[in-house]
Amino acid sequence: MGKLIGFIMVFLGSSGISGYIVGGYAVRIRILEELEQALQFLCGEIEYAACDMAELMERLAQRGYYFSDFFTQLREKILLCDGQPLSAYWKQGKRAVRGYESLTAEDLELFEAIGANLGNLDRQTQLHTLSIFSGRLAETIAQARSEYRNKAKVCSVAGITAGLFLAIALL
Amino acid sequence: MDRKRKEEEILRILALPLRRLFQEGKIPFSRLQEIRLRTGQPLLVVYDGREFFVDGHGRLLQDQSKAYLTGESDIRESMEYISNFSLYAFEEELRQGFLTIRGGHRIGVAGKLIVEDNKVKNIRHISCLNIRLAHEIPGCADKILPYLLEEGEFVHTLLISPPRCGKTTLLRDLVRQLSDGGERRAGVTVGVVDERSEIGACYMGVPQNALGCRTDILDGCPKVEGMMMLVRSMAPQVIAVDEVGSREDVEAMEYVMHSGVKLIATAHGSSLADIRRKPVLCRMVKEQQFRRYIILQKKQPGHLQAVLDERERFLFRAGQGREWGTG
Repeated sequence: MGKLIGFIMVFLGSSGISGYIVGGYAVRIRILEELEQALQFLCGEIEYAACDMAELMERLAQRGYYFSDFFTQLREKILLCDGQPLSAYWKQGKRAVRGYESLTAEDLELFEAIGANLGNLDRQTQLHTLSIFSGRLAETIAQARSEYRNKAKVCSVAGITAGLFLAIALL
Repeated sequence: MDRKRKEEEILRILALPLRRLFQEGKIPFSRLQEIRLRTGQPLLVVYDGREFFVDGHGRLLQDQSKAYLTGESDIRESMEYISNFSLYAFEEELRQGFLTIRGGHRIGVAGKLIVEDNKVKNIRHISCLNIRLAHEIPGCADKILPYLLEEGEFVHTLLISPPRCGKTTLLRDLVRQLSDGGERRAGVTVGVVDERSEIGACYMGVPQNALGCRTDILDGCPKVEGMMMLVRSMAPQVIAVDEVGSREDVEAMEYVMHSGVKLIATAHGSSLADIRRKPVLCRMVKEQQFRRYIILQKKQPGHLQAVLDERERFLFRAGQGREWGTG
């Protein structure tokens, strides 16, 4: 009886780990999608409402989930004006993004590049820059989705197989 | 305006080195009128009507050689704070050469202009900033308001003043008093067209300055369109507008006047003769469309020089023992 319980526990544990890893990939996609929506929102508000960054950050914080804390902190920093450029606030605040650990080095690089190109440009250039980043982000999301399918399959199979192997080996 | 609030509003937009300098020097912001920043040039302030240099410890000086030299980074950093890191949001204002920040303070900018089709498209490489501090003085229109009423009703009024002599401050308080009403005077609905955000100093559409409980404000709206919109949509009894002078402004003002709405406007000038010399406003004076003219003193900013009626008869004149001042 004890062996059977142990077998089930090892099997479930292993499968759970693979499920967690797969979940991380899904979170990454959701974060990137929310960032894409935020960029689209920024474009719209800059083009039609000429909102300043503090106002935009406040509204983005209310809209999002993963970036809510990040944009709230960013707004506070903007209003604080403590001698650093917006790009520095943006870079420093990235850990406030929920699910930050799920992002890859390339995602973070793109994320920082967006912050480095915000606020100090004229409207036309600002919109153009944001649309370039939107395009790059869309490509990253498409790639992440296709990777997700493969990785999810591999992880699930690997998790189940490893669980079975371990359980049998420990029997 | 709360003194502390004003100090915070100004310090917040200054680059860190300048902010430290003003904090160290403890310059009273209540009497500070202007801060002038020019790349590579001494830091200048207009304090209590006089110009001073400021040294590295925030002390006011007459000696230019000891003054703090404003660096390029001071201006760039200040500009980032002024625009909330959002220069794109102030393109329209920059095109006009100034922008208004929270609290109604006006920031004049100069630098390299980008011109397209003979029109200013933008300003790049901003090298000069002139920070003009807004002054809200509730009650400064107390003594003047009775001159602007006929049988208890407000009449069309033109406020004439050179720049920096307090016309917007006076206009703001007149709006507030007309809107709130008084002991023997009912309040009226006032519409304000605040093209440069100086009267109400709106932040996200909400006036930061007291404009009264019956005031509707169009912030950042061109004067001509704003006057028309208010007449059509908000049923105002009085419309207030700042710095009029163009042909379109005059046409819109006449539309307002002929719609049964009273008008209060301001114009640059130091006397009624100056207004008569203006190509389009002169006709309104000749036709006696304004029933009152308020003229502010040039030599003593914030002080009333005269109040005249439509026939240019003095109802009040400075130096007749009834001095009046906003300061």
